Amino acid sequence: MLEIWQHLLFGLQIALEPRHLALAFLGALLGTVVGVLPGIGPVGGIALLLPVAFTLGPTGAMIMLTALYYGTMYGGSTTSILMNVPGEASSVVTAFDGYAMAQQGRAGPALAVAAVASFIAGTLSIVALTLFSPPLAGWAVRFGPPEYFALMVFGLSAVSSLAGESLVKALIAMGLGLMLATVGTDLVTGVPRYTFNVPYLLDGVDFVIAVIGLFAVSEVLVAVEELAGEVRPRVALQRVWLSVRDLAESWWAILRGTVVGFYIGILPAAGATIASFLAYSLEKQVARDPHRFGRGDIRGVAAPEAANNAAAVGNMIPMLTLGIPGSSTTALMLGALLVLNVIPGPRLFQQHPDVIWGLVASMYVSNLILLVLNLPLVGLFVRILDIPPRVLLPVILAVALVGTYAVNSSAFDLLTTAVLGLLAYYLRRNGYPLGPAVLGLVLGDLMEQNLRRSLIMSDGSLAIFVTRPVTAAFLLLSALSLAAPALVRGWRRFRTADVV
Amino acid sequence: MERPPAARRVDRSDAGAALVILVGAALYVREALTFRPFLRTEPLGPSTFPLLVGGMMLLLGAALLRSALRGGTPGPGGGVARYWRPGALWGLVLLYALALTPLGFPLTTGLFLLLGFLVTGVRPARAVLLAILLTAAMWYGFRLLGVRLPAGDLFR
Repeated sequence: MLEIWQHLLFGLQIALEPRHLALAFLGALLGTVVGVLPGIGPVGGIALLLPVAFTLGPTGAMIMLTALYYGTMYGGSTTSILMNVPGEASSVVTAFDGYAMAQQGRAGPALAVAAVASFIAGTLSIVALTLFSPPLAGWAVRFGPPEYFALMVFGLSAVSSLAGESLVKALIAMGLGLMLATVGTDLVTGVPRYTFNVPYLLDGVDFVIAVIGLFAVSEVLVAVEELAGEVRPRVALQRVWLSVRDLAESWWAILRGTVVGFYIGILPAAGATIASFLAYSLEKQVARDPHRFGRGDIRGVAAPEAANNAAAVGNMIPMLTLGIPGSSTTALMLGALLVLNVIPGPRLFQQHPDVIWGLVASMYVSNLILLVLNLPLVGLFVRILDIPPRVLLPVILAVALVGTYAVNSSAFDLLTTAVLGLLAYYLRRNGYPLGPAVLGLVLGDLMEQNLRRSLIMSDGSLAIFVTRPVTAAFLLLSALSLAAPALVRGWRRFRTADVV
Repeated sequence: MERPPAARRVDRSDAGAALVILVGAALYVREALTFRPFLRTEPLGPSTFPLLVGGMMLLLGAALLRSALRGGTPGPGGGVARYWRPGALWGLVLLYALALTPLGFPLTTGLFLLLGFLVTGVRPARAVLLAILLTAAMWYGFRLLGVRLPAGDLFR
């Protein structure tokens, strides 16, 4: 226990270095802007900033990316409340009661409660993360290659089973990511794979380049389809403040939302979006007056906002302790760490305590920065929405292209981005989720290495995946998560058949 | 999502995608069979993992084909009117990739922004002004970050 506080103090020293503080501030600011902007989501925003982040070193890069991630969570709710246009999927629920409140002239309290709920939830979950991560990492330190392989299989299947409408399409997206990951020189034997004698491909597909193409470029292409030209109406903004009565009314909703969000966040695959929906419906169920929800109830804003921020923190736990990301955003961060030669996982706590504890401490700091930034400056952020998308979208695309070029100063990279951007545009348009694809791309290499090491351990026998209890358990869980959608459908059919 | 009752037709778009996946996965597997290490140091080799992934993709392609033939939900309609803007912008991305080295950053980015603005419907006079200003801003902005952008082979 004492040890954890020492670690945290050490982390705070790192986070409060002026340079890191500035990076957290910059990340929070840019994140809020990205969250407010329609055409680009948190993943696209992080992808765009990766080239910049790599010049900062592991600690600085992680601090900025985390602050950015947080910022998008804050910013996303602003447009939900003022315009009924959720900036991100995780703030869709916020619009239900938030926009209703705004229409009743209570936009100020709605925005304020969103910021306060996010702050409280973020802070409490970071405390939980601080307490839970080291024991979890301590348990996982004993994992061997078979356990890791099984864990990654579980991560991939859990994400695929929850992403999108069609399991087959989600798995295809995952497979495409894995296929991309196999391009390049095989690390063990030096055999070139899928390089077709093109020297450019020997190093494989650069993760950052791929992600900019997959997310940033395709997001702009999708957004440009729906260019309507007219500016959406938004509710006028008054003072953003919260009365004591508002706070008293939403207090329990915030706490319940935090707990729900945090636990959902830890699970692989179930991210901030699901957490916000669950928190909202829980709040409606425990309320004595559920009919008020959807008509501008402050609890309907507080609970999902608390939940999506808590989930964003919870999401970091499997990424940092096990090296298994549970969402596209954490997959990007994992990829960023790998590029920076920091391998997330249980040993990270021993090998790079500066990265881990600096990161955790700077999460507290960014939370505070965001609260201070958001309450008085919401009006300013909303102004960004006055820039018409037809101006914004080409500029985002140009920044994506220059960012791509900046990584390796290579024009080949631009071609990769273009090709992957088109592929991702097709995938998005036809119901393939991109989350599994990026997860496959990030985990592909690690998965293969662990598979091969396992088989070296067992002299080629596949029995090793069944005889080790933890490994077998993870593989069983994977099978269950893949079968779950079919089982649920069967159960529903059974129940409706029963009723009729 | 509402599902129109007449959705029980062959989903041509998904069926086409399934065929592409099947052919792609088959080629991927065939290529994987050619990976031969100089030294055999492990029970399986550099082709094991690709073979697993390729095999999985073959199964998935078949599953997609099956569900497409049974009929699916039609994709977003709208035809050319819907897709010309994304198509044109993507064409500009491709041109950017090809032109950056010979034409250099200022010219390529300026043209990209100008044409991009015209595609999205910014008025021409404003598009020219914005393209020039933003190109200059990005040139100096990235300089500040220490990124060296090419001035262009043509102008050497």
